[in-house]
Amino acid sequence: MENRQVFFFTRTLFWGFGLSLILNLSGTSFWISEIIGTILGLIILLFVKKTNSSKIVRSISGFTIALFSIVILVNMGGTLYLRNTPNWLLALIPIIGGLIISTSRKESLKRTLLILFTFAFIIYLAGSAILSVNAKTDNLLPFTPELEGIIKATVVFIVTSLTPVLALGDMEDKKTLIQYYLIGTCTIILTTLLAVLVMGCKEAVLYRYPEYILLKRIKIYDFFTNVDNLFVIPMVIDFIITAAYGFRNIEIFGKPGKVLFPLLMLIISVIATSSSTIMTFLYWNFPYILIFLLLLTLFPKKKKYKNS
Amino acid sequence: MKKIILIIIIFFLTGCYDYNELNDLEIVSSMIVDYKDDEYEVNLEVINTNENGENGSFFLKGTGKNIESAINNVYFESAQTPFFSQMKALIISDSAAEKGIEDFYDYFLRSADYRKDFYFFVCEKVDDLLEYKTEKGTSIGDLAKNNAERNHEKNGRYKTNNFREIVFHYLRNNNYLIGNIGLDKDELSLDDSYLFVDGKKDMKVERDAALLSNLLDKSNTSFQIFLDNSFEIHEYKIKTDIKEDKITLTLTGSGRISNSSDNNSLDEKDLEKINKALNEKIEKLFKDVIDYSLSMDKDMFHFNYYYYQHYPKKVENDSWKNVEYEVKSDVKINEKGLLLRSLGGN
Repeated sequence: MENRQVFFFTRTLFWGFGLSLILNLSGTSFWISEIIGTILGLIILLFVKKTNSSKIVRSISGFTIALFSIVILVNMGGTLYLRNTPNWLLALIPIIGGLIISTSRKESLKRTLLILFTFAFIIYLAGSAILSVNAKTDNLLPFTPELEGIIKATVVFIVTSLTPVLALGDMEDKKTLIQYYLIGTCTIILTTLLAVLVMGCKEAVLYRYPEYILLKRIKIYDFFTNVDNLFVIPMVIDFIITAAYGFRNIEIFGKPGKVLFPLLMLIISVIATSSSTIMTFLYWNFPYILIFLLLLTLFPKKKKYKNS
Repeated sequence: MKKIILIIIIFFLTGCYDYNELNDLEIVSSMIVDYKDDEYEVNLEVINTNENGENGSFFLKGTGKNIESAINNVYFESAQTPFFSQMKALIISDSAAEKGIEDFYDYFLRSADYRKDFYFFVCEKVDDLLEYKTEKGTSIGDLAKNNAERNHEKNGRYKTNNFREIVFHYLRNNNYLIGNIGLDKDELSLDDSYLFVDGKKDMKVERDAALLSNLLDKSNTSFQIFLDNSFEIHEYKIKTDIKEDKITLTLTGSGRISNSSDNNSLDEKDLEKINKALNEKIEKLFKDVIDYSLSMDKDMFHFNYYYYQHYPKKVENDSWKNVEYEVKSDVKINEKGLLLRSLGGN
């Protein structure tokens, strides 16, 4: 089966978390971390043959990644657009949307993903092309690489891009998995590059959502302005598709689980997004959570031997 | 069942909760900030959408100890919600400029209500501006923004920055220019530019200094140089070459003769002479402006920041004062306008 969904998995956790943290850690040397991160991520993908297929591990990773997607989406929506709308309502919509998508058959999902990928990719490229007009190469200076920052940012890049792919992707079709992973990471590198070239590194690290603030710079003369809302749609698609596949991964507790886990997700996301302490903690510590999930996913399931 | 859930989703996706009725919004075109008696006075210029209204805009006032409380207190004058996304200008009085504007930055940056591309202006007589009656369909914010952009593009000898640019300079400890706005015979006019140091109004700058600042920021498409003949320079490029002990500015571009007082036919020999004189004039003009900046001990052109970009480990606060400056001009006059020969002047 084609792995178009991997494009969305690769990108989701960078919005609101990964991209901002990478810039904070490595400054104008971000491109070194991201390129090395992509190469190492590809190498890991090439060498990994199987991931842990235990129901518990798949459920934990699916739930956590879906939860992250919902939390970021709710926080972003509540901060930037719908400040008066209650968080439970903001969380309910993508949870229901993700649930519906997660129950679709593989064939119809494949067709939906083709449309969503094409749409999201075209919108993304169009936005990037318009933004590149305002790019200033001087914003990449001064170039002061610090080894510690680059290493930390590289690790963040690898876990942020790879964990959802390994946890949720279809490892049987390795070729397309790698293909869409590469496309996804390239879009992340391009977004970070544009954020620095257009805004400047000091501004990009100032904002909570630099990838969104960047979109506000899209302007063609005085005619084509205030269109950031159109160009943010690919990000929303990333969140909902990742959440949907996270739900598909949850296999424990059977049918009651299909109600219990979304409800639990709703409660946790409302609590998390209502507390700036929790959100700040998540921002600085989410790589550790992802490292744990990555190890859990890579750690092989113990084979049960029948007694002879 | 799925269709029912889908309908519920569609219903919620209309965004009813954060809905704003257009008639309940006051569309703010500009904000005028004054500081007196230890308080900020904010006047929001609101676009008049009343068909029978005489003027294009009216003001709503609020006062407070800081800018956010002053804006919040505007609600005492109007039950409708100010809508700031279309704000084009922030005009500050002399007293507010001298107090400093760095306190505003966090508020405007943090709020999602404001687009960050509104222009800053300084106004010496804010009360006159508040009395100014705009025509239907116009506002002070619109006029100020359009005027500033035209000035930047075509004239170049006036400089102001928008909020994004000011924050850019603030984050890099740069000084920046904010232009003056006022009334001249009952018409809005943009005049001089002021240098802001540490967020406070410091001094008025010469027009040629504003011109060099615009050239370095690539804000304008053309500018004029006046000698015995007048020239319009366009399609220019300015390159900064930063060495450890020297900064070189190199200007290249195309020149068009605007006016020639010579009776000669402007043959190739004459053109060569005029071209040389033009380049010498440009070099002297900008070198004098840089020397002026050095003599005032104010880094008007962010040379220290350029130095920091290339030598981040060697830069200090006054590195820009300890380097040599050179200006090179290689503008080529290749257009004479519509005339084959000069008409001659008085």
